[in-house]
Amino acid sequence: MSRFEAVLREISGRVNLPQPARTRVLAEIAGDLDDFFQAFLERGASEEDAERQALGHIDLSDEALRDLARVHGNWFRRLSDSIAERAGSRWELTLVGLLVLLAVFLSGAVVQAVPICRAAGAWLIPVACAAVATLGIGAWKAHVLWLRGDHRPKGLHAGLGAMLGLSVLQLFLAFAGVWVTAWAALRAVGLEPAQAGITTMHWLLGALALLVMGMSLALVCGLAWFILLGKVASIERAEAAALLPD
Amino acid sequence: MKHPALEIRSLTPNCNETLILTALEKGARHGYQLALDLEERSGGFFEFKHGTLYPILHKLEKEGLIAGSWSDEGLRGKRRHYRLTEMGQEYARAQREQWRTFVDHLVDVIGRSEP
Repeated sequence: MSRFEAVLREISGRVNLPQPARTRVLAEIAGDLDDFFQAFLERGASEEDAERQALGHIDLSDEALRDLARVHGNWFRRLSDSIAERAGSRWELTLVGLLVLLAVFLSGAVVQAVPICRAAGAWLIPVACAAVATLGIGAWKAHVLWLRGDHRPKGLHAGLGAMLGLSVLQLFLAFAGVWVTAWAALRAVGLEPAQAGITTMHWLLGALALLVMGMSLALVCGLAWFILLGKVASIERAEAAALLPD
Repeated sequence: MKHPALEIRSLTPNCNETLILTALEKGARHGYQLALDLEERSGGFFEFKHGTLYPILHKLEKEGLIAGSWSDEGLRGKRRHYRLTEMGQEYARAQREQWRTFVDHLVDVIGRSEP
């Protein structure tokens, strides 16, 4: 265990670079800290003094981190970094917020315009809301992983579990809608047996539309989750490769 | 090949790059050795915070002026050392010429010592 473990952990939390640059920087810092420490010991410093001087020499400032991000980041990172730091994050949040609003608006428009969505009935609304939430999380995650290139291990898997849970929730809601409308249709048939054929056909069409929509949306969200999971896995592989370059 | 040019606003980064490239002309160095070499050779005048070295080293490496590689040093673990490339040598020479010209003109204006 390195005597600088606590410092390295603190630095690791601040170095938000894409892999494998992130691991490389951390490995370099770890090696240089140890080397500085040894060099100061050899010059006759006490352990405490050598440690203090080594830490003083490394001193990874926020400015140095921004410079590193400029060297290793992609075009989007350089662009957002060129805007003031706080303004940049606000700008990114606004952009993602606008995209989510656009997605909600488009979802509403699609639900109104497409016959299959109209046929699916009111149960499609919670299913669509869950799908929009899933895709919103997916869009944010894609933004962080690809555009910002923030590959810190702490947040690497964040949101993926929620995406999977929401995709399953869409299926659950679609099936729940089918069962509830079946129960309502059976009740209607009991009250008006003469309309049984029309009621049954109406329920069948609605249930089919709801199932098709629910399963399709869950499939799209599941696919987005799978792609993001693949990206996270490739980042972790790159981290491992950077640690073991040979 | 990158053309060196000294501009007032880029003097500090330019100076740092020239110092690092010159230090690497003596042979491959670890990051920490670079910082200590420069400090010693300048009698402590250029005291590099190592944190500022990483972005410069990585930038120079991306530009092909230096090349970094890992070496396995047994119990000490892996260390990254840097060496000057051919392009880096030419660039360092040109940079030094620029700096000498700059310093000469500066001294012409401000004088070598107070009258």
